[in-house]
Amino acid sequence: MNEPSLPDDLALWPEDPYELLGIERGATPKDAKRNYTRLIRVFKPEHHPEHFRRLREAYESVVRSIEFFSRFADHAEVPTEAPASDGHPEISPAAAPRIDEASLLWERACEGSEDEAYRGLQNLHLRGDRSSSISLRLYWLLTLDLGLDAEREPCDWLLEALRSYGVHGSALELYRREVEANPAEAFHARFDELLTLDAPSPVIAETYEWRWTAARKMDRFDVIRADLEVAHRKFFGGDETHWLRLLMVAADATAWTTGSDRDLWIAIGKEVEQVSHLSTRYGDWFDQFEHLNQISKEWFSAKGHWRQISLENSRYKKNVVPHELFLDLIKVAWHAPLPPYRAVLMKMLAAISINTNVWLQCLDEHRQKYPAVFGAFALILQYAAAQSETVPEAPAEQVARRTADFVAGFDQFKANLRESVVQFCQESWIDPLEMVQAVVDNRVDWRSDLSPEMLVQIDDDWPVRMLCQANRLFWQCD
Amino acid sequence: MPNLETTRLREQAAEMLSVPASNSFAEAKSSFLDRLQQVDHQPPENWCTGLALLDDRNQLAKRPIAAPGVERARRQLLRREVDAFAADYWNYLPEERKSRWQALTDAIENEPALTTHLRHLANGLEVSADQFEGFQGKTANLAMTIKELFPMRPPQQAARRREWLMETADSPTLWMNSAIRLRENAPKVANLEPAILNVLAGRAAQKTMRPPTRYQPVRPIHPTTVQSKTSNNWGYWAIAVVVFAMLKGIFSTSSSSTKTPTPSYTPPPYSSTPFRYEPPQRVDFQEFEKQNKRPSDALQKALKEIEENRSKLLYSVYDPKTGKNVPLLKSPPADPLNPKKDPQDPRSLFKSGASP
Repeated sequence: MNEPSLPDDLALWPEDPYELLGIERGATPKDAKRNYTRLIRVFKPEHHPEHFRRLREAYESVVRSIEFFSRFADHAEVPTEAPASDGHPEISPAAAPRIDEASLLWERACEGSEDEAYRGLQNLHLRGDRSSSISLRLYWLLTLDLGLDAEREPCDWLLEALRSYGVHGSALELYRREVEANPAEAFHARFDELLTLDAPSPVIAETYEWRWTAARKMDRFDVIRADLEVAHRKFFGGDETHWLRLLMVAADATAWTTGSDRDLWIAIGKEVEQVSHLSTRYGDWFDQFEHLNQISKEWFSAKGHWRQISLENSRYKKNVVPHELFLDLIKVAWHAPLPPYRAVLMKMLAAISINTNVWLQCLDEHRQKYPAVFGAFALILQYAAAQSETVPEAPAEQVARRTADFVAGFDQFKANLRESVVQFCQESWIDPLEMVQAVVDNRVDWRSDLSPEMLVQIDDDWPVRMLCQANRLFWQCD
Repeated sequence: MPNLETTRLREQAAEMLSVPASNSFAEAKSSFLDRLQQVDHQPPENWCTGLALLDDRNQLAKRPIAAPGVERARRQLLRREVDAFAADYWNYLPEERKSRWQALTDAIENEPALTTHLRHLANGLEVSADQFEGFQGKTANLAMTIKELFPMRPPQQAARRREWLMETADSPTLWMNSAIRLRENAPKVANLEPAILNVLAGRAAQKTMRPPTRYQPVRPIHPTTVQSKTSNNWGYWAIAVVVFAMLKGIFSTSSSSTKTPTPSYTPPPYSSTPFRYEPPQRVDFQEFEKQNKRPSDALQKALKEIEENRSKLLYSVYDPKTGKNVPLLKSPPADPLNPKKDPQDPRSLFKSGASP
């Protein structure tokens, strides 16, 4: 066994994954893991992301290769050649006839005889062929036609592939897609089994992350509660970096819990305290946790306040609606991709476009009383905008010309500066900051009742800016 | 919208799968399976979506692997339908346009932006294309611009409006006259684009009622240029005081009635002409004189304040305890475990300190 050592220059790294990890053909998965771990201590992902990626790929490739050939140990010797460049092991002569049979069956499937192909591939599997591609082919055939097998679901074949071939590769990615699109899958017995399979620590952490994200979507906090203990045992005192990361995921999921589930948020806070020695290394994560804590506190406070108002006087119920929409959005959109909360966001943006004044008031109140929640809303808008259709920015000279029109005609609407700015920005598709910048850059003549102090006010008016962004987002998010 | 789903949706699906549009579901499925190995059994999402859209039994569309893509494709298709209707808006006869509008309105649910666009388009249902004809010169230009602008979606509409308003910055009074002519002769047309008419009215009012400035043109905030510009200001101020003294003399001997300045077509309000102190501005000027303060100074101060604020705060929120704006966001950290992490992750945004 060679002691792994690699130069800093990636170009000098060997292409052969075995050589890269400093192991010989015939090495055990344990050897591979040991050398891989030593190397990634040298090439840490935060400092050498590309080096880390190469090591990870080499490690996965070697593990796949070892597992593949271990199944044919009775028929053939350990391979003498490196795995193929695509990461798939070359097929040993003993396995070749089976693979050929699988290929022929797949051709039948492509010709339209899916039922025949499914049965044939299933037989191959029953006869002991556990190759990943057979399970994946069965998965796809069953996905396209659930009627092919009354006893199985497509994900059964994914688990089969993961079980037989290791927790990585296409099967893992397909399973991730399944869980993302169907969160209920994360609570199935299959997923429980996935968590027990032998896999590198980062992969286990990732699978927990999928499950906890799914739990958040489906309000299954009991699952997080149960997992937390198991994960604690797995990671705490060992891979604490991943443990901290998982705690952050759990915090994102549970920050908005109420009733008995609120204990979970507190428990997570205690777990975070237990790894506080990592704060020098991952200070930003701890800051992030504190920030979320602050948002969460304010969020509950705001929620209670508006509920109380609504209960005390039904006349105000209508006025409370924007606040409730606003708070609901924060809860569903915090650290989530756009598609799941698009409907809630669009509902809110539509409400904003109809009644700007009410929303200005709502944002003003939140800015003053609940600044962290207000800040979270700004980030959510920005995040959604980044994921939406992009609209070309207005050329500088057009911004200056339109701003000049606004400044010159200001005496027409000085009674309501803020509403006028929102309307102007909506009609011109210009951001209030761009307006101010045009003046700051000396591109606009100043001949107006608009006082310089008002300009400062526009520059610092976050609620107005957010409304303008919301108005634009309404069309970009379409 | 059954027609759409059976025709254009199929075309879209075939395009996603790179198969001929005439392919049946079985043929498309064969092609899909055939290519699976090339992609290591991880087909791109649009392959799954395409296949699900071609599935006549609509079973695949419900499978988690395809459902999100199918929903998005259907939404995009509706959007394209509304856009196509808007693009052909004036080519329809009013009756035909109305029925098409009604069909789209009935088909679209839970899509607020599309519904809002259609609601806007309802304002022009009674207007026929020939109502934009028969004008000349600037009025014809204005009518054609309104015709072009009205059906557009707001982002495109705003861009085109900005462009047009840029082109027509000169001769505000002439443009206002054209707007008046259009409003008198074709009020329904004029009502389709109130925003542009308001700007033209505002420009003309500025030109005819208040041609002179009360404030100095904006001075640059860079210290090196401030010096020279400020010295220029003193020159303007000297001229201004002389002119003001002369005007004061004239007005003190004449009657108190003020004469509205005759509209003139030159120069555009953009030029940095020196002060021309006329009656409506005199009072304001005296106010400033009393305060012994020049308006440009106030603006300079404001601009400096803005620049200072911006250099201090990446993202600020109001802190009720201190009564000040405080920075909320921290400096950007890297995610050590996931260097390739989506930079648009909200937590990344939180970290990066970007401001909305």
